[in-house]
Amino acid sequence: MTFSEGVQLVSFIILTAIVLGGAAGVVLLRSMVHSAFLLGLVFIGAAGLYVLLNADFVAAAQILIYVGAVNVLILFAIMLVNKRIPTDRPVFSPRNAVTGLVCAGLFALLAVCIFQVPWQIQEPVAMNTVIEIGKRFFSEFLLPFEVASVLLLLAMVGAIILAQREYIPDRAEGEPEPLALPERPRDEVDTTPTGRR
Amino acid sequence: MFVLSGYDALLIFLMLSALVPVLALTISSLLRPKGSGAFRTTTYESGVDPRGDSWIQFNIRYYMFALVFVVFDVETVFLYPWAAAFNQLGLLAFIEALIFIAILVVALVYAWRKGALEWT
Amino acid sequence: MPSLNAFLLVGAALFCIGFYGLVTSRNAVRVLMSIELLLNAVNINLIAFSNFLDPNNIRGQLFAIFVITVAAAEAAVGLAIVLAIYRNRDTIDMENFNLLKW
Repeated sequence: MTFSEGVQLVSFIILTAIVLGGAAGVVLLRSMVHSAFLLGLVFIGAAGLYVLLNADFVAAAQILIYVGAVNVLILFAIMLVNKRIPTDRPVFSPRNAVTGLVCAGLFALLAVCIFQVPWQIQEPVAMNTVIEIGKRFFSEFLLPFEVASVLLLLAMVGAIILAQREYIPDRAEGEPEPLALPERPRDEVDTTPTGRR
Repeated sequence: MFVLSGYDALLIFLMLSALVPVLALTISSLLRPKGSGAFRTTTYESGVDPRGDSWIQFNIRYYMFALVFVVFDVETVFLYPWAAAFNQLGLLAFIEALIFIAILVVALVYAWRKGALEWT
Repeated sequence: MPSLNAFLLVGAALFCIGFYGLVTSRNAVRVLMSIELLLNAVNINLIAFSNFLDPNNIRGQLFAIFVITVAAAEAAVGLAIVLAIYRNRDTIDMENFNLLKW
Protein backbone atom coordinates (compact mmCIF):
# COMPACT_ATOMS: atom_id res chain seq x y z
CA MET A 1 0.00 0.00 0.00
CA THR A 2 1.44 3.31 -1.03
CA PHE A 3 1.18 6.48 1.03
CA SER A 4 -1.54 7.90 -1.21
CA GLU A 5 -3.68 4.80 -0.85
CA GLY A 6 -3.28 4.89 2.90
CA VAL A 7 -4.42 8.52 2.99
CA GLN A 8 -7.43 7.63 0.88
CA LEU A 9 -8.34 4.71 3.13
CA VAL A 10 -8.11 6.85 6.26
CA SER A 11 -10.16 9.60 4.61
CA PHE A 12 -12.77 7.07 3.59
CA ILE A 13 -13.03 5.72 7.15
CA ILE A 14 -13.32 9.21 8.65
CA LEU A 15 -15.93 10.31 6.09
CA THR A 16 -17.93 7.14 6.58
CA ALA A 17 -17.92 7.69 10.33
CA ILE A 18 -19.10 11.29 9.79
CA VAL A 19 -21.87 10.27 7.39
CA LEU A 20 -23.22 7.32 9.34
CA GLY A 21 -22.82 8.89 12.77
CA GLY A 22 -24.42 12.11 11.60
CA ALA A 23 -27.28 10.21 10.02
CA ALA A 24 -27.88 8.29 13.24
CA GLY A 25 -27.92 11.61 15.09
CA VAL A 26 -30.40 13.10 12.61
CA VAL A 27 -32.75 10.22 13.20
CA LEU A 28 -32.31 9.71 16.95
CA LEU A 29 -31.67 13.10 18.55
CA ARG A 30 -34.62 14.75 20.21
CA SER A 31 -33.76 18.35 19.39
CA MET A 32 -34.77 19.30 15.86
CA VAL A 33 -32.12 22.03 15.64
CA HIS A 34 -29.35 19.57 16.49
CA SER A 35 -30.74 17.19 13.87
CA ALA A 36 -30.71 19.91 11.24
CA PHE A 37 -27.08 20.84 11.89
CA LEU A 38 -26.06 17.17 11.89
CA LEU A 39 -27.85 16.85 8.55
CA GLY A 40 -25.52 19.52 7.20
CA LEU A 41 -22.58 17.49 8.52
CA VAL A 42 -23.90 14.40 6.71
CA PHE A 43 -24.13 16.38 3.48
CA ILE A 44 -20.54 17.59 3.85
CA GLY A 45 -19.32 14.05 4.55
CA ALA A 46 -21.15 12.77 1.48
CA ALA A 47 -19.47 15.50 -0.57
CA GLY A 48 -16.12 14.21 0.70
CA LEU A 49 -17.06 10.71 -0.44
CA TYR A 50 -17.89 12.11 -3.89
CA VAL A 51 -14.43 13.66 -4.09
CA LEU A 52 -12.93 10.26 -3.24
CA LEU A 53 -14.96 8.90 -6.16
CA ASN A 54 -13.47 11.42 -8.61
CA ALA A 55 -16.71 13.42 -8.86
CA ASP A 56 -15.47 16.87 -7.94
CA PHE A 57 -18.22 18.84 -9.65
CA VAL A 58 -20.97 16.82 -7.99
CA ALA A 59 -19.25 17.36 -4.64
CA ALA A 60 -19.27 21.12 -5.25
CA ALA A 61 -22.92 20.98 -6.29
CA GLN A 62 -23.72 18.97 -3.17
CA ILE A 63 -22.13 21.59 -0.92
CA LEU A 64 -23.72 24.46 -2.85
CA ILE A 65 -27.26 23.07 -3.00
CA TYR A 66 -27.60 20.81 0.01
CA VAL A 67 -25.52 22.60 2.62
CA GLY A 68 -26.04 26.10 1.24
CA ALA A 69 -29.71 25.99 0.32
CA VAL A 70 -31.66 22.92 1.43
CA ASN A 71 -30.23 22.85 4.93
CA VAL A 72 -30.94 26.57 5.35
CA LEU A 73 -34.49 25.97 4.15
CA ILE A 74 -34.93 23.22 6.72
CA LEU A 75 -33.54 25.44 9.48
CA PHE A 76 -35.94 28.23 8.49
CA ALA A 77 -38.83 25.79 8.53
CA ILE A 78 -37.84 24.67 12.03
CA MET A 79 -37.71 28.29 13.17
CA LEU A 80 -41.09 29.01 11.61
CA VAL A 81 -42.70 26.04 13.30
CA ASN A 82 -41.94 27.37 16.73
CA LYS A 83 -43.68 24.63 18.66
CA ARG A 84 -41.61 22.62 21.02
CA ILE A 85 -42.82 19.32 19.76
CA PRO A 86 -43.54 17.06 22.70
CA THR A 87 -41.10 14.27 22.05
CA ASP A 88 -43.06 11.77 24.02
CA ARG A 89 -41.89 8.84 21.99
CA PRO A 90 -39.28 6.82 23.80
CA VAL A 91 -36.38 5.78 21.65
CA PHE A 92 -36.95 2.16 22.59
CA SER A 93 -40.59 1.41 21.94
CA PRO A 94 -41.85 -1.84 20.41
CA ARG A 95 -42.68 -0.05 17.19
CA ASN A 96 -39.22 1.41 16.89
CA ALA A 97 -37.64 -1.95 17.75
CA VAL A 98 -39.59 -3.67 14.98
CA THR A 99 -38.67 -0.93 12.54
CA GLY A 100 -35.03 -1.23 13.53
CA LEU A 101 -35.15 -4.99 12.95
CA VAL A 102 -36.69 -4.49 9.52
CA CYS A 103 -34.04 -1.94 8.62
CA ALA A 104 -31.24 -4.21 9.83
CA GLY A 105 -32.72 -7.00 7.72
CA LEU A 106 -32.85 -4.69 4.72
CA PHE A 107 -29.21 -3.81 5.25
CA ALA A 108 -28.24 -7.48 5.50
CA LEU A 109 -30.13 -8.21 2.28
CA LEU A 110 -28.44 -5.35 0.46
CA ALA A 111 -25.02 -6.43 1.77
CA VAL A 112 -25.54 -9.98 0.51
CA CYS A 113 -26.58 -8.61 -2.87
CA ILE A 114 -23.55 -6.32 -3.03
CA PHE A 115 -21.12 -9.15 -2.29
CA GLN A 116 -22.75 -11.61 -4.67
CA VAL A 117 -22.82 -9.54 -7.84
CA PRO A 118 -19.62 -9.93 -9.91
CA TRP A 119 -18.92 -6.27 -10.66
CA GLN A 120 -16.89 -5.57 -13.79
CA ILE A 121 -14.66 -2.84 -12.49
CA GLN A 122 -12.89 -0.59 -14.98
CA GLU A 123 -9.97 1.71 -14.43
CA PRO A 124 -10.97 5.34 -13.92
CA VAL A 125 -10.08 7.89 -16.57
CA ALA A 126 -8.64 11.28 -15.77
CA MET A 127 -10.83 13.96 -17.32
CA ASN A 128 -12.15 17.43 -16.65
CA THR A 129 -15.52 16.47 -15.22
CA VAL A 130 -17.00 19.97 -15.42
CA ILE A 131 -16.46 20.27 -19.17
CA GLU A 132 -17.52 16.68 -19.71
CA ILE A 133 -20.75 17.25 -17.77
CA GLY A 134 -21.33 20.47 -19.70
CA LYS A 135 -20.99 18.63 -23.01
CA ARG A 136 -23.35 15.90 -21.93
CA PHE A 137 -25.95 18.36 -20.70
CA PHE A 138 -26.33 19.57 -24.26
CA SER A 139 -26.15 16.27 -26.10
CA GLU A 140 -27.32 13.18 -24.27
CA PHE A 141 -29.19 14.84 -21.40
CA LEU A 142 -30.69 17.83 -23.18
CA LEU A 143 -34.30 16.99 -22.46
CA PRO A 144 -33.75 16.38 -18.71
CA PHE A 145 -31.79 19.63 -18.62
CA GLU A 146 -34.73 21.61 -19.98
CA VAL A 147 -37.28 19.69 -17.93
CA ALA A 148 -35.24 20.49 -14.82
CA SER A 149 -35.94 24.18 -15.34
CA VAL A 150 -39.67 23.47 -15.71
CA LEU A 151 -39.48 21.41 -12.51
CA LEU A 152 -37.83 24.31 -10.69
CA LEU A 153 -40.47 26.70 -12.01
CA LEU A 154 -43.25 24.42 -10.81
CA ALA A 155 -41.58 23.89 -7.43
CA MET A 156 -41.29 27.64 -6.91
CA VAL A 157 -44.90 28.33 -7.93
CA GLY A 158 -46.21 25.48 -5.81
CA ALA A 159 -44.18 26.37 -2.76
CA ILE A 160 -45.18 30.05 -2.93
CA ILE A 161 -48.85 29.16 -3.24
CA LEU A 162 -48.64 26.66 -0.39
CA ALA A 163 -46.70 28.91 1.95
CA GLN A 164 -49.08 31.79 1.37
CA ARG A 165 -52.51 31.81 2.87
CA GLU A 166 -54.96 29.95 0.71
CA TYR A 167 -57.64 32.64 0.64
CA ILE A 168 -57.45 36.40 0.46
CA PRO A 169 -59.83 37.98 2.95
CA ASP A 170 -61.81 41.12 2.27
CA ARG A 171 -59.69 44.10 2.97
CA ALA A 172 -60.95 46.26 5.80
CA GLU A 173 -59.54 49.59 6.83
CA GLY A 174 -56.19 49.37 8.50
CA GLU A 175 -55.69 45.81 7.35
CA PRO A 176 -52.33 44.93 5.81
CA GLU A 177 -51.90 44.42 2.10
CA PRO A 178 -53.81 41.27 1.06
CA LEU A 179 -51.06 39.98 -1.19
CA ALA A 180 -48.41 40.51 1.44
CA LEU A 181 -47.51 37.09 2.76
CA PRO A 182 -49.54 36.66 5.90
CA GLU A 183 -48.44 34.73 8.90
CA ARG A 184 -49.83 33.35 12.07
CA PRO A 185 -50.55 35.97 14.71
CA ARG A 186 -47.61 36.15 17.00
CA ASP A 187 -47.89 34.57 20.40
CA GLU A 188 -47.64 36.77 23.42
CA VAL A 189 -44.10 36.48 24.63
CA ASP A 190 -43.53 36.12 28.32
CA THR A 191 -41.74 39.34 29.28
CA THR A 192 -40.71 38.47 32.79
CA PRO A 193 -36.96 38.28 33.06
CA THR A 194 -35.87 34.71 32.95
CA GLY A 195 -32.18 35.27 33.21
CA ARG A 196 -31.68 35.03 36.94
CA ARG A 197 -32.86 31.58 37.60
CA MET B 1 -8.19 4.75 -8.02
CA PHE B 2 -8.12 8.44 -7.29
CA VAL B 3 -7.30 10.43 -10.42
CA LEU B 4 -8.12 14.01 -9.47
CA SER B 5 -5.15 16.29 -9.00
CA GLY B 6 -4.65 19.09 -6.55
CA TYR B 7 -6.52 17.49 -3.69
CA ASP B 8 -3.41 16.89 -1.58
CA ALA B 9 -3.32 20.64 -1.02
CA LEU B 10 -7.00 20.58 -0.09
CA LEU B 11 -6.36 17.81 2.42
CA ILE B 12 -3.55 19.74 4.09
CA PHE B 13 -5.74 22.84 4.13
CA LEU B 14 -8.58 20.93 5.78
CA MET B 15 -6.27 19.46 8.41
CA LEU B 16 -4.79 22.85 9.24
CA SER B 17 -8.17 24.55 9.36
CA ALA B 18 -9.54 21.82 11.61
CA LEU B 19 -6.63 22.50 13.94
CA VAL B 20 -7.45 26.21 14.34
CA PRO B 21 -10.66 26.01 16.40
CA VAL B 22 -9.25 23.15 18.47
CA LEU B 23 -6.17 25.20 19.33
CA ALA B 24 -8.20 28.35 19.98
CA LEU B 25 -10.57 26.61 22.38
CA THR B 26 -7.79 24.70 24.14
CA ILE B 27 -5.62 27.77 24.68
CA SER B 28 -8.52 29.89 25.90
CA SER B 29 -9.65 27.16 28.27
CA LEU B 30 -6.12 27.09 29.69
CA LEU B 31 -5.98 30.86 30.13
CA ARG B 32 -9.48 31.79 31.28
CA PRO B 33 -10.47 31.99 34.95
CA LYS B 34 -12.22 28.93 36.25
CA GLY B 35 -15.05 30.68 38.12
CA SER B 36 -18.66 29.96 37.32
CA GLY B 37 -20.98 32.66 38.62
CA ALA B 38 -24.74 32.67 38.41
CA PHE B 39 -24.65 34.85 35.30
CA ARG B 40 -22.35 32.50 33.45
CA THR B 41 -25.12 30.50 31.81
CA THR B 42 -27.49 33.33 30.95
CA THR B 43 -28.05 34.37 27.36
CA TYR B 44 -26.08 37.37 26.19
CA GLU B 45 -28.52 39.93 24.80
CA SER B 46 -26.38 43.01 24.18
CA GLY B 47 -25.92 43.63 27.85
CA VAL B 48 -29.56 43.96 28.91
CA ASP B 49 -31.45 41.36 30.88
CA PRO B 50 -32.69 38.54 28.63
CA ARG B 51 -36.43 38.63 28.13
CA GLY B 52 -38.87 36.05 26.94
CA ASP B 53 -38.32 32.77 25.21
CA SER B 54 -35.68 32.18 22.59
CA TRP B 55 -38.17 30.10 20.60
CA ILE B 56 -40.09 32.87 18.92
CA GLN B 57 -42.14 32.67 15.75
CA PHE B 58 -40.05 33.77 12.82
CA ASN B 59 -41.45 35.72 9.94
CA ILE B 60 -42.50 33.55 7.01
CA ARG B 61 -40.77 35.93 4.61
CA TYR B 62 -37.48 34.31 5.60
CA TYR B 63 -38.83 31.11 4.11
CA MET B 64 -39.81 32.91 0.92
CA PHE B 65 -36.32 34.31 0.44
CA ALA B 66 -34.76 30.92 1.14
CA LEU B 67 -37.12 29.37 -1.38
CA VAL B 68 -36.17 31.77 -4.16
CA PHE B 69 -32.52 31.27 -3.24
CA VAL B 70 -32.81 27.47 -3.54
CA VAL B 71 -34.26 27.69 -7.03
CA PHE B 72 -31.59 30.02 -8.35
CA ASP B 73 -28.85 28.09 -6.57
CA VAL B 74 -29.83 25.02 -8.55
CA GLU B 75 -29.90 27.13 -11.70
CA THR B 76 -26.30 28.14 -11.02
CA VAL B 77 -25.23 24.52 -10.78
CA PHE B 78 -26.78 23.84 -14.17
CA LEU B 79 -25.31 26.88 -15.86
CA TYR B 80 -21.76 26.47 -14.57
CA PRO B 81 -20.86 23.42 -16.72
CA TRP B 82 -22.41 25.19 -19.69
CA ALA B 83 -20.15 28.19 -19.09
CA ALA B 84 -17.10 25.95 -18.60
CA ALA B 85 -17.72 24.07 -21.85
CA PHE B 86 -18.95 27.09 -23.77
CA ASN B 87 -16.15 27.09 -26.33
CA GLN B 88 -16.74 23.48 -27.27
CA LEU B 89 -20.49 23.85 -27.63
CA GLY B 90 -22.17 25.44 -30.57
CA LEU B 91 -24.76 28.13 -31.10
CA LEU B 92 -27.50 25.59 -30.49
CA ALA B 93 -26.36 25.06 -26.93
CA PHE B 94 -26.44 28.80 -26.40
CA ILE B 95 -30.08 28.94 -27.52
CA GLU B 96 -30.94 25.95 -25.34
CA ALA B 97 -29.36 27.60 -22.33
CA LEU B 98 -31.33 30.77 -23.12
CA ILE B 99 -34.54 28.71 -23.07
CA PHE B 100 -33.48 27.30 -19.71
CA ILE B 101 -32.88 30.79 -18.35
CA ALA B 102 -36.13 32.10 -19.85
CA ILE B 103 -38.19 29.46 -18.04
CA LEU B 104 -36.56 30.44 -14.77
CA VAL B 105 -37.12 34.13 -15.49
CA VAL B 106 -40.82 33.24 -15.60
CA ALA B 107 -40.37 31.81 -12.10
CA LEU B 108 -38.65 34.99 -10.98
CA VAL B 109 -41.44 37.14 -12.42
CA TYR B 110 -44.02 34.99 -10.68
CA ALA B 111 -42.25 35.30 -7.34
CA TRP B 112 -41.98 39.05 -7.88
CA ARG B 113 -45.67 39.45 -8.73
CA LYS B 114 -46.66 37.39 -5.70
CA GLY B 115 -44.62 39.65 -3.47
CA ALA B 116 -42.18 36.94 -2.35
CA LEU B 117 -39.26 39.29 -2.92
CA GLU B 118 -40.60 42.18 -0.89
CA TRP B 119 -40.23 42.92 2.77
CA THR B 120 -43.22 45.10 3.45
CA MET C 1 -8.04 2.25 -1.69
CA PRO C 2 -11.63 1.43 -0.70
CA SER C 3 -13.35 -0.77 -3.24
CA LEU C 4 -16.74 -0.47 -4.88
CA ASN C 5 -18.25 -2.76 -2.25
CA ALA C 6 -17.18 -0.43 0.57
CA PHE C 7 -18.93 2.55 -1.01
CA LEU C 8 -22.03 0.49 -1.76
CA LEU C 9 -22.14 -0.68 1.86
CA VAL C 10 -21.96 2.93 3.07
CA GLY C 11 -24.83 3.79 0.75
CA ALA C 12 -26.86 0.83 1.95
CA ALA C 13 -26.27 1.71 5.62
CA LEU C 14 -27.24 5.34 5.03
CA PHE C 15 -30.36 4.21 3.21
CA CYS C 16 -31.38 1.95 6.10
CA ILE C 17 -30.81 4.70 8.68
CA GLY C 18 -32.87 7.10 6.59
CA PHE C 19 -35.61 4.51 6.21
CA TYR C 20 -35.70 3.99 9.97
CA GLY C 21 -36.08 7.72 10.49
CA LEU C 22 -38.75 7.93 7.81
CA VAL C 23 -40.89 5.31 9.51
CA THR C 24 -40.39 6.21 13.16
CA SER C 25 -40.37 10.02 13.10
CA ARG C 26 -43.46 11.84 14.25
CA ASN C 27 -42.15 15.29 13.43
CA ALA C 28 -42.95 16.15 9.82
CA VAL C 29 -39.72 18.13 9.34
CA ARG C 30 -37.69 15.15 10.53
CA VAL C 31 -39.50 12.98 8.00
CA LEU C 32 -38.35 15.34 5.26
CA MET C 33 -34.81 15.22 6.64
CA SER C 34 -34.93 11.41 6.47
CA ILE C 35 -35.98 11.63 2.83
CA GLU C 36 -32.91 13.77 2.18
CA LEU C 37 -30.80 11.04 3.78
CA LEU C 38 -32.37 8.47 1.45
CA LEU C 39 -31.61 10.62 -1.59
CA ASN C 40 -28.01 11.05 -0.44
CA ALA C 41 -27.63 7.29 -0.11
CA VAL C 42 -28.87 6.91 -3.66
CA ASN C 43 -26.41 9.55 -4.83
CA ILE C 44 -23.49 7.78 -3.18
CA ASN C 45 -24.47 4.61 -5.01
CA LEU C 46 -24.86 6.37 -8.34
CA ILE C 47 -21.48 8.05 -8.13
CA ALA C 48 -19.77 4.85 -6.98
CA PHE C 49 -21.19 3.06 -10.02
CA SER C 50 -20.18 5.97 -12.22
CA ASN C 51 -16.60 5.81 -10.97
CA PHE C 52 -16.05 2.06 -10.93
CA LEU C 53 -18.26 0.72 -13.71
CA ASP C 54 -18.71 3.59 -16.18
CA PRO C 55 -15.66 5.85 -15.95
CA ASN C 56 -15.62 6.85 -19.60
CA ASN C 57 -19.03 8.41 -19.86
CA ILE C 58 -19.86 9.52 -16.37
CA ARG C 59 -23.61 9.04 -16.51
CA GLY C 60 -23.89 8.42 -12.78
CA GLN C 61 -22.63 11.91 -12.01
CA LEU C 62 -25.24 13.44 -14.30
CA PHE C 63 -27.96 11.34 -12.70
CA ALA C 64 -26.70 12.53 -9.31
CA ILE C 65 -27.02 16.17 -10.37
CA PHE C 66 -30.59 15.59 -11.46
CA VAL C 67 -31.33 13.77 -8.20
CA ILE C 68 -29.94 16.77 -6.29
CA THR C 69 -32.19 19.07 -8.33
CA VAL C 70 -35.26 16.99 -7.61
CA ALA C 71 -34.28 16.84 -3.93
CA ALA C 72 -34.07 20.62 -3.76
CA ALA C 73 -37.49 21.01 -5.39
CA GLU C 74 -38.90 18.33 -3.11
CA ALA C 75 -37.53 20.03 0.00
CA ALA C 76 -38.98 23.40 -1.04
CA VAL C 77 -42.46 22.05 -1.74
CA GLY C 78 -42.44 19.58 1.15
CA LEU C 79 -41.52 22.20 3.72
CA ALA C 80 -44.15 24.55 2.26
CA ILE C 81 -46.72 21.79 2.75
CA VAL C 82 -45.54 21.35 6.34
CA LEU C 83 -45.91 25.09 6.93
CA ALA C 84 -49.42 25.09 5.41
CA ILE C 85 -50.47 22.17 7.59
CA TYR C 86 -48.96 23.84 10.61
CA ARG C 87 -50.98 26.98 9.91
CA ASN C 88 -54.20 25.03 9.57
CA ARG C 89 -53.81 22.38 12.28
CA ASP C 90 -51.31 24.10 14.59
CA THR C 91 -49.19 20.97 14.82
CA ILE C 92 -46.61 19.12 12.76
CA ASP C 93 -47.06 15.79 14.50
CA MET C 94 -47.56 13.15 11.82
CA GLU C 95 -50.02 11.27 14.04
CA ASN C 96 -52.44 14.19 13.83
CA PHE C 97 -52.54 14.39 10.05
CA ASN C 98 -55.53 12.09 9.85
CA LEU C 99 -57.92 14.16 7.78
CA LEU C 100 -57.91 11.63 4.97
CA LYS C 101 -57.79 8.58 7.19
CA TRP C 102 -60.73 6.30 6.76
